Amino acid sequence: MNVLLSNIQRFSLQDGPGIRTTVFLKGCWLKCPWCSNPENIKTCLEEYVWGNEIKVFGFEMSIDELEKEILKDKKYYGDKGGVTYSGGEALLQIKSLEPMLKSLKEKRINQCIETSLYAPKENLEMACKYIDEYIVDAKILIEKSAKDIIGGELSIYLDNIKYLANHNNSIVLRVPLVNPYTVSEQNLFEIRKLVEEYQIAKIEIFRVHNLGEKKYSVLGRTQDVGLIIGEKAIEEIREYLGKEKVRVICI
Amino acid sequence: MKELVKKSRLFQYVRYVRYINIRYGRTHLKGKWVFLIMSLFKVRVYSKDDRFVKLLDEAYLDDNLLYQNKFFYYSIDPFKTTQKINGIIGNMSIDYGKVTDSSLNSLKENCNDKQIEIIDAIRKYANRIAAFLERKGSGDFDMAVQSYYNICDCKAANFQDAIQRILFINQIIWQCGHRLVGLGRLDKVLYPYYRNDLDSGALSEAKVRDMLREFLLTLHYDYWFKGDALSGDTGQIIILGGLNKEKEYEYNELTEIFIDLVKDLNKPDPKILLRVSSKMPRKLMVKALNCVKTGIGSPLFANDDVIIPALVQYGYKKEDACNYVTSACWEPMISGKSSEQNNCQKINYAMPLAEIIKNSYSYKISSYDELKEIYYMNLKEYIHGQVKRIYTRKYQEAPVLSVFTERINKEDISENTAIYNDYGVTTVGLSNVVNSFLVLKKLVWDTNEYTFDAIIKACITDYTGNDLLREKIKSMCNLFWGTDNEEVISLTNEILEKANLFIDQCQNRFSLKIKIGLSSPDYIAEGKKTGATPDGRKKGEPLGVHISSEGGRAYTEIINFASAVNTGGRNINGNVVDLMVSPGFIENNFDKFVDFMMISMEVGYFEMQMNVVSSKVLIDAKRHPEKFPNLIVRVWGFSAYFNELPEEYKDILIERALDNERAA
Repeated sequence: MNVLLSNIQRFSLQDGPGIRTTVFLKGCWLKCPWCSNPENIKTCLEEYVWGNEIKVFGFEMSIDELEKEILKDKKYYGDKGGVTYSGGEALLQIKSLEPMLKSLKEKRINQCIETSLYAPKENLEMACKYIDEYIVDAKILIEKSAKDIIGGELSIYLDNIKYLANHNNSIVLRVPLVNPYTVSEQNLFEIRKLVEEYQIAKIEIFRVHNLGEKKYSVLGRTQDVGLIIGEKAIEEIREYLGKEKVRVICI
Repeated sequence: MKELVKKSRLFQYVRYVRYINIRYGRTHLKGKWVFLIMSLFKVRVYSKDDRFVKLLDEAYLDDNLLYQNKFFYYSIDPFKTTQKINGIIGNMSIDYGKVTDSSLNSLKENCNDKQIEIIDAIRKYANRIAAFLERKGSGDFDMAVQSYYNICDCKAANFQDAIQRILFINQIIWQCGHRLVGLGRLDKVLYPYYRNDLDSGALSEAKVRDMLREFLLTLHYDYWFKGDALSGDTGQIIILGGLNKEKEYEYNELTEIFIDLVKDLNKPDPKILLRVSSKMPRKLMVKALNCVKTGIGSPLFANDDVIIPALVQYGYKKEDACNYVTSACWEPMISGKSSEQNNCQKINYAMPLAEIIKNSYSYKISSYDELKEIYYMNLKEYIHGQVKRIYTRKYQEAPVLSVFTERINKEDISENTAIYNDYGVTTVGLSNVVNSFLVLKKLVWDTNEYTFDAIIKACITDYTGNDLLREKIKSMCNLFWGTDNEEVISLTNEILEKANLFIDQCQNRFSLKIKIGLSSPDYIAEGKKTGATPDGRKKGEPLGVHISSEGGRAYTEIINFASAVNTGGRNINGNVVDLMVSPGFIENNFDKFVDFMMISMEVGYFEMQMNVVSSKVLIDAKRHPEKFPNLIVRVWGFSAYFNELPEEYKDILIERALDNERAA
């Protein structure tokens, strides 16, 4: 079984607990204007021109090979660290990964997923059998704006998070701060409501950066990271969402 | 004879000009000439048989440090030295325990006449200093005066006395012309005195810190004079911590104080090396990383879990292996028992490859195995030539160092009388050869994309008009050296094994062994002599050195590679993993970085050092040196002020920092 990846990043320290290997799976339903990995959106290989060369975003890899790659850093994982599936939307290809997820679970490798939850529910149900930690995006929780700005059907998200919260309590909510899309008063209110409803204990907020600029330009697209958000505003958002449980991270 | 001396004087003048150059920079002509003219009048080079005695009799005592120091006296007269006749033994650490724990007279027992003469000269020199200090009437130096009077007759009386003695003998070693002199395991040597004084209430912890701060600054005082190949290359290394022969990790309060002080003083020299082990407490690693993250380049980490077994396997006695220190940078040697010259020759692995390329018309190479076979033939001839040169080397007598070195008889250590007298060779270019071979294998024989001749021709023409090929090769190399790919590791070990074998073949008649290591200062100089190589390296470009982080390789992957590279056999002469780290990276991920360091020791690297610096700062500092007078960087095995480095060294660091950040 093969999967379509864009990158495997070893010694990854920002994607979950401990030292990890992050696997970037290609393909995503959403089109967030601030996305920092635009090369991970399409579900196929993408050619681009770099200097005088034609290069390709994405490569196929068998899950056996992938597992071998993940296990190379096994010693560094310790009790907390492990592998993180990111993307793109990692849940979209999760079915292809199942034999590997199972094998890694047997080897007691901690498995984490970074997800927007915009994916078929059955994929999530399958993932829940193996995945230990969930880093879940909370982007736009207003139905119309979600559709207009990121191109997502909010009901899918809400349905999935409900399921997840009922089946797993290790959820970290990750909120990208994009002014005004995600930090409008109404959106923050909806996020807080979600946090309270599912008693989410950990939230990470982060500024969106434009380090993906080069990738955007070779793909012929543009990025919109929104307006600048000051330190004070960030502190206010932290306070609003529940100071104690909110960590400001830099990605 | 006189002519010869004159000539050697000329040589000395050139050296002084270089020191002055280092101190004032190339542009400061005024300072250069003033000093040169002064040196013409003041320089004395002692050459007769009694040269060391004469030198110590006449060395000028300067009072510069009297006004800034509270505890210790130290004075080197840079304008008096001994004539270089043969190689001068240096690049080693002595065991200062012999200086603190015994009187000089008690060492006479194991000394020949010449060495006894030196001890007497040291006594005279010490008395002269004591009288000088008394004459200056500075009450603060009472203890120092006592130290000088007593050094021949008693062991050190207390902590302060112990340090003053170390400084005194250190001063004499420099004065007698030995260079790159390490300090050894000072946390261990000084600890009994520290404990005793603290328990008796004679000293407070704060005063200990004051003393050690002054000690470090005093050693740093003649920085401009002590630099060897480059400013900063002083070899003043202090070895801290380490496993004992019961395999327990030993360190003490002084270990921590030294690390704290080096961090706070923010000077490139003296530098520290921390012997680490998976058995060490995490809190000590935390302290060490807090020091490294300031960008000072120190400490270098030496992994006892790997090094000690390798030393034992090589042939050191176990108890000695546990008491290893290093030569000026990273080459292990035994404290107080070695006169090993660990940096006495170099092997440039890329040279025989460049020769094949130059003479490619005379070879018919039609397969990867043939290529390797011809390379090994060339490598053998090259290594035999290099090794032969080691055996023809002669060293001049070194009575001062002999006094403090354990020997099999009373003769001088230049006669190979120390317990360990082996030689060490440093190497460059292994990464270039490994990458070149794999590039050729893939492009020529695996995929048939290019002919062998086409790539060789590209090298001969220095890649002119072949930018595309070169770019392609460069990005291929990201998958080779330094990765944990099995093919890369096995090729690396195969070449190392051949090198070991070729050295075996020229074992000399005194059965002095030769060690080799992957770390070397010669990557620029040797690079200049080496033609273009099939790994995309152009003619004259620097060669690969250490096990370096390139192409944004994950640190875990580099450590896996380093741990899989064979560091047994002869391969024990220093193997440093050299990491480039963005500032803030350690800080922002501190706990996880400590985890990484603790686990890495178990995985099994040999040695590790870090340059924590950003390209932005380096580029700015190159343009506006005046804005960064105190910017410190790690060069090969030492730290130095960035501003004092030659431009090519600055450029390499900038390029490496950019490379590291591009990948992030």
